[in-house]
Amino acid sequence: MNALTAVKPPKLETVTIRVEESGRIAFKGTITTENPSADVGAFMLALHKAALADKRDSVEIDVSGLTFVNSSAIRLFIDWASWLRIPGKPPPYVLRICASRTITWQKTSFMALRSLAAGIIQVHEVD
Amino acid sequence: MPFASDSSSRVRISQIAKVPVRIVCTPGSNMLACTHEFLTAYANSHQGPQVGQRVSVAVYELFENAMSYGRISSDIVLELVETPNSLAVRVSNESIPARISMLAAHVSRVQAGAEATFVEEMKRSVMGGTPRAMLGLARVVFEAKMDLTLEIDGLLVCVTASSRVRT
Repeated sequence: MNALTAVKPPKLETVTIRVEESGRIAFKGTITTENPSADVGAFMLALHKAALADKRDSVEIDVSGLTFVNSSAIRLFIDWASWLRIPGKPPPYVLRICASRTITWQKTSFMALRSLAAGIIQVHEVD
Repeated sequence: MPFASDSSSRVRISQIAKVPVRIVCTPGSNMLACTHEFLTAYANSHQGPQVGQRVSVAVYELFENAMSYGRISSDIVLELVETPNSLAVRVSNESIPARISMLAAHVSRVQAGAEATFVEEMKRSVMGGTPRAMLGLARVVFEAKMDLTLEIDGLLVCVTASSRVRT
């Protein structure tokens, strides 16, 4: 077991999060809590720290099952990109996002984030 | 269609034929999540999932703004207005002058360029800036592809997100 797969996902009402043995993290459901940084955001930060400890080249998250998120939740992905942004240096790892091409928040948000965080974020679209 | 009602929150729902759905609730009643879930399900079943997604964004962002920036003593009225070829989400509530001015400025900025506003708000956050409420309004226009209008009458504000839909 490595540090990443040992991170325990929060138990939440509207979203299920699974950390697979490969280290891939899958989200399914919706995120509509007023302050998702308290639980989902804290979990993402724990994943980031674990990925650094494992010295991973990449971290893959699958959000294709996240049918709706509020703006506060979109900011969590922005936060994650900002953790990887080190001026003058390459990112410690690449964040690979598996997104759905039929869910509009994913198309628009990751399109914008990919252009702002080039080299940090890679997006792979699925149906 | 299930809708979790909480008698302590004083939520009243009335549906007049197919037009409109009208929900009245009090700020602080913690009704955002279930109201959003209900209206998303309603829009999905009546208009299909593509339109349902758009309504879902508009309902959440406009309702959340009203809950966050409205007067605590004023009810919030959320309406889903359907005509044969258009759909609108309309949220009305009272607020204070300073917040009304801020909202008007935000709406103007989003109307002038929704995509640019959306990307700029994302960029501010990537660069470590303080997240702002404008991202939600930009989502309504850029992501949900709806027109945003603002009506002000004294301390009463009415924000409407509207779109033509295929019949």
